[in-house]
Amino acid sequence: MFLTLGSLLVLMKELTNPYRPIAGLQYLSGNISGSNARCIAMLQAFQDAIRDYRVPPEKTFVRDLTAKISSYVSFLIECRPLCISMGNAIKFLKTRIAKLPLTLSESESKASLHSDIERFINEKIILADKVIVKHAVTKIRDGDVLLTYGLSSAVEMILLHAHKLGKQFRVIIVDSRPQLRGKILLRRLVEKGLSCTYTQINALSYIMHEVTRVFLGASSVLSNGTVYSGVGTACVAMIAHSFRVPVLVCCEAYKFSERVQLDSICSNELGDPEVISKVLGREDVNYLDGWANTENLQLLNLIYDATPSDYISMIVTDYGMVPPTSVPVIVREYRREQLWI
Amino acid sequence: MGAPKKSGGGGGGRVSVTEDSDELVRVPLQAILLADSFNTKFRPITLECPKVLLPLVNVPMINYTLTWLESAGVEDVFVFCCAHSKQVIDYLDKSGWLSQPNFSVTTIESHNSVSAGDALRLIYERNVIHGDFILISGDTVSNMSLTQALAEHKERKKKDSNAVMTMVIKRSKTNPAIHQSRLGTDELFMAINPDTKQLLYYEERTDLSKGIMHLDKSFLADNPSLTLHHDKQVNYILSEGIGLLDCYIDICSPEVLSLFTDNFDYQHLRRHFVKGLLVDDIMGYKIFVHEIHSNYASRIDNFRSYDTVSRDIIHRWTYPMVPDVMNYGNTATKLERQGMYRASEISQSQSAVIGPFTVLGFGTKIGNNTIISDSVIGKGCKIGSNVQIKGCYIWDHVTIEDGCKLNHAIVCNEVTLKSGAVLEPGVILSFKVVVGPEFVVPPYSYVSLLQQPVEEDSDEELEYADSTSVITSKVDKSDEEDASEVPEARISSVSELGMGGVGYIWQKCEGSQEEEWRHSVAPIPADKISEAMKTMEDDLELTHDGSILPPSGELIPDSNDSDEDNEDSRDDFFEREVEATFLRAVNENIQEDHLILEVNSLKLSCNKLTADCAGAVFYAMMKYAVDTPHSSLDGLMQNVNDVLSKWKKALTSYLTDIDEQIEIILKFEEICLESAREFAPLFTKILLHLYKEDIIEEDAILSWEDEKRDADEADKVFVNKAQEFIQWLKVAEEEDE
Repeated sequence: MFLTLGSLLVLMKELTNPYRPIAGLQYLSGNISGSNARCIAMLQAFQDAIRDYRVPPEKTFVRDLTAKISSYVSFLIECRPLCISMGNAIKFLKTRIAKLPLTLSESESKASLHSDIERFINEKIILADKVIVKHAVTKIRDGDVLLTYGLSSAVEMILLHAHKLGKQFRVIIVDSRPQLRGKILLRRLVEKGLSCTYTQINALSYIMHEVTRVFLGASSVLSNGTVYSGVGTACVAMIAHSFRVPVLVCCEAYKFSERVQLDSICSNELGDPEVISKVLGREDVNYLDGWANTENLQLLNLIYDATPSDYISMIVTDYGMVPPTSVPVIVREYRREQLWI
Repeated sequence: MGAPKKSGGGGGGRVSVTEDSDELVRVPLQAILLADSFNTKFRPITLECPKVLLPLVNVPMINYTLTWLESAGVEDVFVFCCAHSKQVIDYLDKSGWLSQPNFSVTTIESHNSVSAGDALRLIYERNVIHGDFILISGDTVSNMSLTQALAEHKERKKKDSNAVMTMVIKRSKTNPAIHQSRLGTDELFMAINPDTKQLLYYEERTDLSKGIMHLDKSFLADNPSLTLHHDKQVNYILSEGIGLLDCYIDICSPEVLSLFTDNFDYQHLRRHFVKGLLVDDIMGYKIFVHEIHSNYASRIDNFRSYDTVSRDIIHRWTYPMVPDVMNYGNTATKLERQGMYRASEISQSQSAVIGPFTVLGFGTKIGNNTIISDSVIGKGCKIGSNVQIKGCYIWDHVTIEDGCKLNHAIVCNEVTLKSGAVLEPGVILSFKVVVGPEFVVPPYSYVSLLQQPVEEDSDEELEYADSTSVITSKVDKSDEEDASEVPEARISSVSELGMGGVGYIWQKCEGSQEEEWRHSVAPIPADKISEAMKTMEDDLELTHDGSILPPSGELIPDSNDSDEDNEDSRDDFFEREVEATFLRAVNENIQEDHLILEVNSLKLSCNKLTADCAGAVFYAMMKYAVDTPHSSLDGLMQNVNDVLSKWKKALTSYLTDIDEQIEIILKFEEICLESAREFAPLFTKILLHLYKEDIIEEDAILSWEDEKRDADEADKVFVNKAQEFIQWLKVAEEEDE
């Protein structure tokens, strides 16, 4: 997708470790998507890499491993740009490596890093999600009509948990081309017996009348309260806002970033333009076939967009439910806490 | 919502159809609509009203079929009426179908036809069908375009005049258990040639117990690339594991009619005609299938499919056959949010809660605090206060007094429910029944003003013929002497339907209890679903464990003895488990220690001896060696060597004793004799290899030979084969001494 086969082979040769390229290739083929899943896959790949790592003669463990990790990261970036959660996780790992006491032996250091990563996955992602679910479920009442956009693992867990608690509510899943990831969520919810409505983002203003709450996932929350998430999220939040429907964003605190961003064009990721020119299952929609030859045509397939904090009523994190203005506090406290670990 | 508008496509279809048939003489596309289902599944309602006139979402069923035929480009329809033919004809006349421009509807009346076969024979005698025609029953809802199916049919017909029929089929839901319960139909097996789309095998079956199908070996041998379809995932299932659904829409050539005449014993379209054609290889007539993907087509065969199709219509899967587009003489129905359809002049209390996916008919009155959801209410109904209606189909002019509770029931025209009456799930109330106050109608009961006809003959068709004559006379009587009959019924039924109740609760015939939940409008009880899921899983397990079965949808003729193998292996659960464990270990690169651990736990759970484990593991290894592709005996030997050297530890850990080693040799003999004869010529070689690898000690071999000394000659084949090796061992031993 983003890489030619040749450069990939070179990379694979460079990376002696057999595990790393697999994770990279999975990103490439889109097998792992969703920032939590990507982050966990990356961390687990790092765990394997550290386990198999041997210090070359006449090099120090800390320095060489940091360099090695950097090279892996650049490989991953070649496969697909990192999302902010992954960046945070890498930062965490590098700090842990840098802070390793020099007195530790190689195997001790490895064990310590291994358990650090394990703890990160458990505490910052898995446990955090549980806490978020616990908080968010209190916001679902009987008779609610909840709207969600695309596929978010946190929102899925919240809805399933609320259903398990026996709350009576209805879910509207809004989706958009080209990924149509909402279908995955729809399938999972319907299988569990939730009452669902599925619609495309074009019908949003019609369906918003019925909605009592909007639950959204996020790829990251920036320190000015802007929510950085899958493209279309901003539109959903904006329409919900104009209908006076509360918008709740569910995001683990490890995805918070001290970055500030005002628009979604900078540091966005561009997807394959081919997929937006074709419509799945509709061979007759072929107006753009051979578009590549046209000079005055550009297809823009953005992956993310930025939702201004004005449209967001509340952010549900593992530190509780906070207004978007409190994000900088969490970022600050979170960083400090990370130093303690 | 809804599919793209079809009317344009329908018009286009008509044009191309006429063009096609212009070749010789322009023959308009004709259709035969059977306005009688020739069965009794809709009793007691069908005793008083023909099935095709039953309202489906407030519109008589036959309208859906006729509208579709019209939009699909059919110009000439023959409606075959049998039971209650007068009512059908009257309705068609009144609703204007008989006087449509460009769409001629002709009725054919018969009073002595008892089956579809009789009907088609009668039509043949009339000599009205001149070209290809569509055969459909009057209870089919569809929005598919016929253009492609017709073109395919004509194309095939041109090439092969024996291709007399094209059946329309549809892929069913991905989850077979859900699908099957969805329409309440029987299991269906179909074998279809994936290249030519020819139908090779068709079988409906009622018993759910085991879906094992027996096919002739020659059948498979003749059709090497056969795809089998089945709406329940069982043994031979195949391509993507999705079953197919018969839509009961057939495109037929005129020969079909003459075939019915020639074979006067054909009664049922599928059971006799289709199977008859498939079995008969003298005439060589062929049936093909046309698969539809996105369009809707379904037949209403029983109360459950009535429920399902109604829901589909409300959910607009059948667009343009939806309540707000289909309005016959009634005032317009409006679609509101969340699948709410409202006709005009509805008076509804402010405090009434009308839930999602509900249709309210013209002039209906609803009282205070009434809750209605997922239901269809006909026109002119009076519903009192504090009534709860869920998942019900309430037809026209029904009176429901205060405080009634209705749950998944069908309530026919002019029924009265006195205050506080309760309908349990699955209840059917036929015309003009009165349920007394506070009376609870038990689940799945059928209530009618007419008494249950006495079953005289077990044969469905004949039984129907007898009863139709009885019933028509009875209906007439009840129409005329309504006033006099009601009090009589009331006296006899005070106990049956409470104070002031009118009607008889029908006795359930034997054996139907078991199936009543399957055909009823009520949702399937949770335990039945889990039961069905369980049998399905069991079946799946069977499929997966019998690793002899090819994983793909293509069946190789050689593997047709797998049926027996499966049965054998069912007896020997342990051996199969070990084999599956071993295969998984190979495929997923599981460490030897883990494999040993797993086999050990199996050994404990199945209460087996170490010797059994050794035998089973060895069997699994040999099986794997045989299954690994190899070209010659040498290749096979190589496979065996590889497997043995790789997994030696797993095997040797069970060979602590000489007895286990003997067990292995015996097992090996068994393998050579039965499951994998390829090994027979390699017996000595592999034995030698086992010896060299220290898996088997010479003592074991010698005592094996000892054991066999007194056996039959037949049993000693391999001992004799290995004689040379054994001799060599003995000599070596002596030398040692």
